[in-house]
Amino acid sequence: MVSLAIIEDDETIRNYLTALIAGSGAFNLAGAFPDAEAARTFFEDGLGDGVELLLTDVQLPGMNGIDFIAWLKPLRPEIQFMVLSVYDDADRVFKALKAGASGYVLKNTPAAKLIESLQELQRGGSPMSSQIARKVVNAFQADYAYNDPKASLSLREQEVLSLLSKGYSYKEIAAQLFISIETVRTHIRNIYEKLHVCNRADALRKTGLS
Amino acid sequence: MRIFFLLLLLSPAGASAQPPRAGLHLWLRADSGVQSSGNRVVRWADGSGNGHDAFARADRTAQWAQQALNGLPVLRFNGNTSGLQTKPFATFPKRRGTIVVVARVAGRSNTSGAGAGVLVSTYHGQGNTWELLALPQHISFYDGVSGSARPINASDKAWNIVTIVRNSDSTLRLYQRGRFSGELEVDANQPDTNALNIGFNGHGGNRDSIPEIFNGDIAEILYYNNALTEPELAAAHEYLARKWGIALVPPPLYERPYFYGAATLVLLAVAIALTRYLSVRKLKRRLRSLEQERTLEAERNRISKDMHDEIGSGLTQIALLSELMQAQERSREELLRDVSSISASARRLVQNMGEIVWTLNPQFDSLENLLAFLREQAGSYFEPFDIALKIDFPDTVPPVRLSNEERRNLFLVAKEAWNNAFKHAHAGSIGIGLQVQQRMLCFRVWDDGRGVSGTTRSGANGLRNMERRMLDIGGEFALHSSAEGTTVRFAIPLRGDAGV
Repeated sequence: MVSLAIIEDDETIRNYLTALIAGSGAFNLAGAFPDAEAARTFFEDGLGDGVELLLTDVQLPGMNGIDFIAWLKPLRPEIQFMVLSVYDDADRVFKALKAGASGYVLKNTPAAKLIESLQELQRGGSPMSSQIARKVVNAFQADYAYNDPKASLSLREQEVLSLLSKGYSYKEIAAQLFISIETVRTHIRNIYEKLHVCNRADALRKTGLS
Repeated sequence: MRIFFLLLLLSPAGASAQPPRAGLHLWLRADSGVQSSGNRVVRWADGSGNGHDAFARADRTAQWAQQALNGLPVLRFNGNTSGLQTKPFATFPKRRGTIVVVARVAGRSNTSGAGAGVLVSTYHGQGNTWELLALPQHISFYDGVSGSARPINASDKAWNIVTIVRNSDSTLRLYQRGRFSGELEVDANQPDTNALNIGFNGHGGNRDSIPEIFNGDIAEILYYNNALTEPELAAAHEYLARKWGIALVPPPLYERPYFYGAATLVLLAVAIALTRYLSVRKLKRRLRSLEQERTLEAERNRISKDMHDEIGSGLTQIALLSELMQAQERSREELLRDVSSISASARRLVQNMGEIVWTLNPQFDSLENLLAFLREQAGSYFEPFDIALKIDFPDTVPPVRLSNEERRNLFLVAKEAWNNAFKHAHAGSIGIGLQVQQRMLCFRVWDDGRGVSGTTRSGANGLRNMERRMLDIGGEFALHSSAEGTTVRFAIPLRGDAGV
């Protein structure tokens, strides 16, 4: 059973997700919060020590979801952060990815698929839509000059990212590159990690600390 | 047109056969009034009518040379023994006057150490003098009152027109060949002699040793007892130049009459033309931007109308189904079915919203993005089903930019096409492809199902919609159907600025 927390300001959706997750048998809900401040207090009080997965909406009444991720990720780097989104709004999701999220979940995913997606997420990072993949490609291209060699993409990773940006599914990428789907997922996970590193280095550079 | 007229005004007026007469106190010309014996001049008559004739002396005279300049005679002075003199008369009585001399320096004078010969001088036995002095290098004005000399021309042995004008108490203006040559301060002085010596300095008797006899020719002398105005000077110079065939130095542009007036008019014309041109350009630019705005607005209206229709109908479905569930007596099965329909409608709406957002996002306006989106959407649409989906897009495509409307319509037509293939034709395999031709982007959706019929009303509507969408973006639409399968082709022309 994987410990999971939710931040969602819409009551209906929050209740729905709570019910869904509680009834899944695969996850247990550590907390469901209506805003980022409540979640923050929860973690500051040490109550969130066991949480492995955190789902958060972006638009929240006070502090927004992306800023919350940016706050918690350095403190709890092992937590998988996921963004809840109505549709895959590439701009918003991309910002969340840079802040430390590993992916996104569509709010209107059918119940059965939702649980499956969460499990998949926990294993290997979320699927990237072609739009998001495109933005990730651009992000790496832009930062190229300043890249920490650890943070620049390997050839294989570049290939995976390129196919993603063209709209290929995991299955198709695996078929194209003659690798397994698991490997594809691993590559994607690594890409996210490097995106975080890039972003962190970027942020540090901007504050003159790197 | 205006410029041409002004230029006409600037051209010199017709030359007169006479110099200006107002104030002409003494007028000696070598082609008239010369009384000679042999070719020795005895008397040079004053043409002004004032009787200031010049006479030879026992020891001084001049030679009357024929055909010397422009077919006319001149008086020649030999630098040794020449000279003529008038009887006394009042010179420059009001401290204003003008002297114009047409002369040529032939060489040094033999009667002065410096080789200087006098053209005209006002000395008559005593007092201070003014002189036009010819040195081998240049003709000078000599001010005997202050004792200073000022050169008028550079050296040459050509014919010259030399002018001095006293037009104020303190200054004297010098001209050569009609061109202003300098100003001299004369310190409110006045030569206090009153006759004219020609070709020598008037010294005789005690000062004979330096008579400074001129070595050269004199053609004409004009002597005024007032200061000529610029136009009068110009007239006098013109007259002399024409008569004797001497080229005047043209006045600088800014001294000509009417120059400033002409210049102002020209500047005004230019300013007006420039202002008009700039304001026309501004108007054109504004017009262009307004047109652009209008095009954008039209596009936005089209898209929002589209959205309204699609989302409106989806929401209406949900509303109606919900009411139906509440109003009638429905069995549990029916209720479950209704709820399932509602949730399906809702999901469809969210999907539509996602598509709309993609359409409107300017970041994804390239052909490449469209292909990626098509691939993705088709993939996720058919994923739950056992359909062989084949996607046949080229690996690389030219960097074509598509407008919002183009992206949207192409996507919707493709979606409708594969929807039809799946739902109505019950196909087993479906394909989507693109062929980039020289001038067209040719899309196609094909399937191996049992043919789309145009006879059902919704079917016909659907086809009409697809065709309309393609026509709206300036493209084409065609459908071929048989029992073996259907192919829908739709294409748009590549713009000339593809890639920009």
